[in-house]
Amino acid sequence: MDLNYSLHNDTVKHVDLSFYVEVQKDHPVDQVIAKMQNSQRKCALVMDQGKLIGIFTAHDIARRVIDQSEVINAPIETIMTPDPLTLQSDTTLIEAIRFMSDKPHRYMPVVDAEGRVLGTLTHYAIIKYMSDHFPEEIYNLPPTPDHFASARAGA
Amino acid sequence: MADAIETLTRKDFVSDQEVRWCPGCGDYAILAQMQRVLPEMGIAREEMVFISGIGCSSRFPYYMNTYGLHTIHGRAATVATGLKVANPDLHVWVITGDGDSLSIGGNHLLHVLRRNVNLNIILFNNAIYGLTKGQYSPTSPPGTRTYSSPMGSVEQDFNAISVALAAEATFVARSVDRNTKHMAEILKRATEHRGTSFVEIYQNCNIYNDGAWSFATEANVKDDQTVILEHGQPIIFGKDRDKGIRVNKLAPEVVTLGNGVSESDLLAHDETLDNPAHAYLLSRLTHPDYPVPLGVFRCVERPIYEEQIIAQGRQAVEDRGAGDLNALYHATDTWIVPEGPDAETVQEVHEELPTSNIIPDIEQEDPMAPRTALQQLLYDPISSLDLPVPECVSADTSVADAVETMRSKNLGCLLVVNKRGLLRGIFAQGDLFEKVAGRDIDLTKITIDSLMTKDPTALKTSDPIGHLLHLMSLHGFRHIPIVDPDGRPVGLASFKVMLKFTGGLFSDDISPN
Repeated sequence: MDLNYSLHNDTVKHVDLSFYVEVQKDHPVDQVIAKMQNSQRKCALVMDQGKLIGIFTAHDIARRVIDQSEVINAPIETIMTPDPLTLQSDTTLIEAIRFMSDKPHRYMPVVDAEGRVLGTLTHYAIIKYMSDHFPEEIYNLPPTPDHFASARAGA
Repeated sequence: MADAIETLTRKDFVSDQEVRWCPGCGDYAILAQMQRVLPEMGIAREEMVFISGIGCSSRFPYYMNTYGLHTIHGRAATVATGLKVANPDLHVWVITGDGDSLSIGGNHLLHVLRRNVNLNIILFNNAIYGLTKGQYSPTSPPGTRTYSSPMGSVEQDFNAISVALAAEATFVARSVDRNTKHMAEILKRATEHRGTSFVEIYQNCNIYNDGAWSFATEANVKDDQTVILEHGQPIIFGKDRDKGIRVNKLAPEVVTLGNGVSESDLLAHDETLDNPAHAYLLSRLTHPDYPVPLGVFRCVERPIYEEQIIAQGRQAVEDRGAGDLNALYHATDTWIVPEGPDAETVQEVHEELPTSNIIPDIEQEDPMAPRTALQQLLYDPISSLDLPVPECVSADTSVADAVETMRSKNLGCLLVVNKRGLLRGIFAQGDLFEKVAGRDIDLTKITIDSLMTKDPTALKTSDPIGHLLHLMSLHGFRHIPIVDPDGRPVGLASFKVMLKFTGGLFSDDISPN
């Protein structure tokens, strides 16, 4: 597979968009955090009647929650980032990569033409998608670069 | 010559050697059938080779008046393979036992079968180690009491036919020492087959495992406890031939003919099926739950190993000439160890460039060619990335201070170094998320030493970028410290750095290939 071709032709729908959880806007912060921890997802999309209204991530936890114990019982909508930027599902990957590498966002909700949430694009999913193009060169490496044999020989 | 072959008799195959098997051994019956069948096969004696490993059965070659090799334990198949490649005109039989070819030689049996060398393997299965005086073997059923399993074997036994089928054998058959007529037919079929033929013969060891196969040999029970496989025929058995095998959702079942069950309901045998599932299913009909099949389970055509090997050799000579082995040996990677105690190093021989083109150099690379985007992504050194300088703190920093530092400088992680500036840990937002968030912890009272990842995986600036992708995509590391040769952090690689690099690497001028 030609990665350059794939990045220009595949869209964000072609990578794993499952690295997120959905929560409702009135869920208390501590419950949202517990849900994220239990499912090992660092991103929560905050929904109101089926519509995306905000985003809350591990980054927000480190910046706005971790040493502010008074917010822990508040509804998530009071601390989330409202009206998050989203990506259209027909965005090509190269566009998404360039967009995300210029912005601070690590998690970008992906929506279809009707605004329905299809998932969340993450840095990791893009890295994984790229590496999947080169299993031999990326996955079949020794644990450290020093483990390489100096010559292609063996007994 | 042809006339001479036709007039060979059994006696021509009997050697002058004293036969040293125990009186009453089933091996005698197999020897007798072999000597009976071979004169009918139209093969000259001097074109036959019997090759054996170690065990009672492996004495067989001494007793055949043909060429023979009594070889290494478990390795008869390998010697036979080599012989067939060297001299494909020979007719080769491998004589082996359940110990020789399913214990020590198990590996070699598998590979001769999958290669489909044109030879015949006769496995004398007596389900015991006879030569060594009565220890259980890989075909001894669980519970078999022997000198080496006085309380009963606890091992799952091998089903030799199933093993052979799994090893892609093209001819697989079973017979039994006391059914001499059947054995003779099977030996003939095996001899005629082009490719590896595998024949298991139930053979009685009357000293250490007497009666192991009595269900298949005793006149009053054998018709009900075995079934003779006949190609194209429904599988019917029983003294009155009133029972058969029906398949119900891939499970075989014994049914009695009549009362609405007719022959057309029964499984019909087809030894030529390309898919070995049918033969395998039959191989799982085992005593005492089912009648045990005797006959040819599978007989299919496949290219023959030595024919292909030899053809490749011919083709290579045709394409490149006869070649010079001596030149190849001295072509490259040779060196001279200098004489005398003062010589310090081994001198590589450079003056002799390769004289042979037998091994093509597949790694020809023009060092002056511009590097492609992919080469840059996978192989360029990490130093070619635009890496941010990491924020380094000491391990006794309080978590509260670390959080404040990350917040004020908008950082996703901190590197932790010791007094000498060497990398000792990494402390990231992920650690806060996993270990602190949602818990009632006073962050001023704990240090990052307790939360950080100690001795994290780090790479050097000279390492290839591909290794960053390796660690990121396989292990999910968002941040990877980059250190100098002493271990001091000089940069911090991250998902984001990689995305930025990728975004700039590929032009929008694309053409699919």
